[in-house]
Amino acid sequence: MMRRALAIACMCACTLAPRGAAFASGDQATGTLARGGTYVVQQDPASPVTAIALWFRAPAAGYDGATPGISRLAAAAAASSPLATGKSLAHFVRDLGGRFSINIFADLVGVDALVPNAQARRVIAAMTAAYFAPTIDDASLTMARRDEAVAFVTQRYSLGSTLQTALAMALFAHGPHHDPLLPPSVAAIGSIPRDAVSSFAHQAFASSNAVLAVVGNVSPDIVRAVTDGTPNQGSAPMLDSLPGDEPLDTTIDAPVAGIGIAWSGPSISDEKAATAMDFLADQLFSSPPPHVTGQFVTLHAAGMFFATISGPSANATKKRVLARIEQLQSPLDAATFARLHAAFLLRIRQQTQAPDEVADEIGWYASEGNAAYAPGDHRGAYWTAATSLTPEYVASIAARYFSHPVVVTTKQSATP
Amino acid sequence: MRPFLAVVPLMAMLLGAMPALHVLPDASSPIAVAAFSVPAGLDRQTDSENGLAAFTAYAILEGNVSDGTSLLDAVTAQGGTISVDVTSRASLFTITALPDRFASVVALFAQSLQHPDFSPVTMAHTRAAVLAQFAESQRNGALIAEQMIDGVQAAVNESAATPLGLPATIVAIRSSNVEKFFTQNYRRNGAAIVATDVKTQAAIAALLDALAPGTPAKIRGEARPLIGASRELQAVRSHASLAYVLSFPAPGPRDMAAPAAFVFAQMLQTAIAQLAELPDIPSRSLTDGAIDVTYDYLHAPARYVVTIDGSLGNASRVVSVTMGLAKAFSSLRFKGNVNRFIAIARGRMLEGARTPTARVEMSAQFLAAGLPLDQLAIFDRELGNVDAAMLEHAARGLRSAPTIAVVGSVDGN
Repeated sequence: MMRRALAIACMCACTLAPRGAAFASGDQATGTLARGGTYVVQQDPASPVTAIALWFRAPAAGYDGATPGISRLAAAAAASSPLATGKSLAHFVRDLGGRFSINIFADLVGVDALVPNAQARRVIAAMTAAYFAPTIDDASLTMARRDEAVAFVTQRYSLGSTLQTALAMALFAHGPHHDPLLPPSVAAIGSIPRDAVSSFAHQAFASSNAVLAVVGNVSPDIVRAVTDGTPNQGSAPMLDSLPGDEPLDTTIDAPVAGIGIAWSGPSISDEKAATAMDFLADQLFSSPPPHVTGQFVTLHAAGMFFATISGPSANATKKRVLARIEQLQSPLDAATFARLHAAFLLRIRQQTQAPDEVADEIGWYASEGNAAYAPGDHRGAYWTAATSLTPEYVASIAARYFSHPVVVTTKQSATP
Repeated sequence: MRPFLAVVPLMAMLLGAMPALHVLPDASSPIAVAAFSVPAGLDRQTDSENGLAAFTAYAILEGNVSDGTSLLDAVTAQGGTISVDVTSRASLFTITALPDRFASVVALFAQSLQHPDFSPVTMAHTRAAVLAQFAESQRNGALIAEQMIDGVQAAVNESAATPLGLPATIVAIRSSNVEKFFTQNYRRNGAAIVATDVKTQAAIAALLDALAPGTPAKIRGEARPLIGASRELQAVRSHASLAYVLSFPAPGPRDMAAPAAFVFAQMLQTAIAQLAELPDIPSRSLTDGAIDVTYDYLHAPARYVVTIDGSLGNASRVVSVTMGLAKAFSSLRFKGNVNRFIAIARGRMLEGARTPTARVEMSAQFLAAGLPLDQLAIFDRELGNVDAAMLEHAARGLRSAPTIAVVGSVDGN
């Protein structure tokens, strides 16, 4: 069995920045990894734990869009393969007192570890070894299939996840968000061959396609712990999903009845407009009516604003949500705007207190093509955009994007 | 690298022998946070006053600060938040705001403490808010189960230890009860503030000045662990999740075995998960919460709480497994290397302190329990000394039969 080497620290030729400057609280150091890809290290001196997030642009249904679930299988298998210590990455992190998790999105894979500060260096070495040079054998694939089966059942019973995926598939005509996240059945998970999973892992999890975010009581030189992995052909292109001209409403089977509505929104490069959409979502969903959830999802090419509705009066609730959306297209009076805006600004800061939240946001926004816009950087572009919002501007963005929504209705099926 | 919980008493107002204002320097905190602990916890109410501590705290939030605006609404309008958690020993208020608005938010709270409004309007709003929160809590099976365990302990101790009380006692609370509870317990001695923001010390100190001088009323119900025969409690709710909760006595936070109790909780959780055949998958977040063992050292009295998600296909078997393991572990002679479990226990303990808000709240709870402000750092240090003898001591409470609470849904599940 092949074993990967851990912590080839001396081989890592990362560029450390800023050089010579004191690394103060909240500061970020960014740079390029030895074999491509980027890193961001953010100082949080008061935190007893460090968050390490490794993000990749990787389509959930494979590069041809025909193998739903392959990205989760590859990510779980890489985390289940034995490292040089004989332990898998998942067990290594757990036995050091950390938490390990895998987050799959239509166009991205994020793997996170939250560990006591003293263990951060070892976990960075292990995590980059597991992903930058993945080895996937039959045992690790078996573990990954079990992982995906649990994820399948969990998602199947989550109305919110089911509707969000179905809305994206209906709204976007092309790209990874148009494809399903997971296979159609648990049985189908076993039909994806090991060679395909291994090939996907080597393409998707290359260093050149990675964003490494480290947030905690650490210094920038912690990235010297990165295990280089194998050379790769260069950074992966953006995996854009583009909305269709006239998306069609759909009905799908699900264990729970509900309704989803969605609109396409601005791209991540239109920072002020995307932030205005976040503010609109905050107004609607920070204290929502019962059985309503939603958010704006910031993406590289075009974002998605969605709401999911459940409960016994879902149709009536949907009408109320649409009426509220209509109201948002007129500017709020100054006093109401000031109150809601102040609450929004506080919520942004509250949601970026934890190192794992900040690391995840850096990973997401960098992978979607705009690292400088991550809300966790409290001196960055997001904060500038958020503080510059006005009632007129927010209403104009609502008027521009809230035209005809796409609607997905779930029909309660007899069998899950 | 500096310690993660460095405490710099930039300002220590000495009230008796105890500094009451503490600042945790946290320059990376994106918000300003203060936790204000008042010795007005569940231990200050009697059985017939069930819910009075929480009602009083909520009445402060619902009280008028100006022109019919409640403190809660006034704070929100300033871009801040204020919330309260009533624990065994204290009412713990948490205030957050952007740094430039923090002083004005704190000033509103100080005004409410100095001139509390327990008018009929406030009482009506408070009653509605507490009843709504009680109703919301009845959707969570594990929460209901913990309330039931607290309730039986309260009955044994002749105190009233359920956080919100019960609807029958909530509706019976009058403004005279609230005024008396406030006057007796919202006192300067025994109150403490922990805050992140060093720039607004004067505003924070005003909270202490707003309280009447003197000491609070004496503790009404002394908390003792439930020992002896097993107690099994059952409840059925229409929309609650199915849950099993088992509670065992545990060493208190000052006991020399307290660090070992964190480790023992992890050993017990791992053993239960293995015997229950919980799938060992890399995405642990998918199975986390199915079985959870917590060392609840801030509860009075300290306890191990085993929570089992009732939606597990074999939940009742997991309960049997837990009972068997508890019996075996209580008299086991521990051998071998426990470093792995020490590491896991340390990780779980520290991750609970990863936000400025959590660190401030945790420190305020330590003070309320009579522990040092940096108790977490002490536990962290002492974890390295845990040995077999300490583990055996930590496991002794499992010799006692547990209190078990089961919450089901109306469909007979």
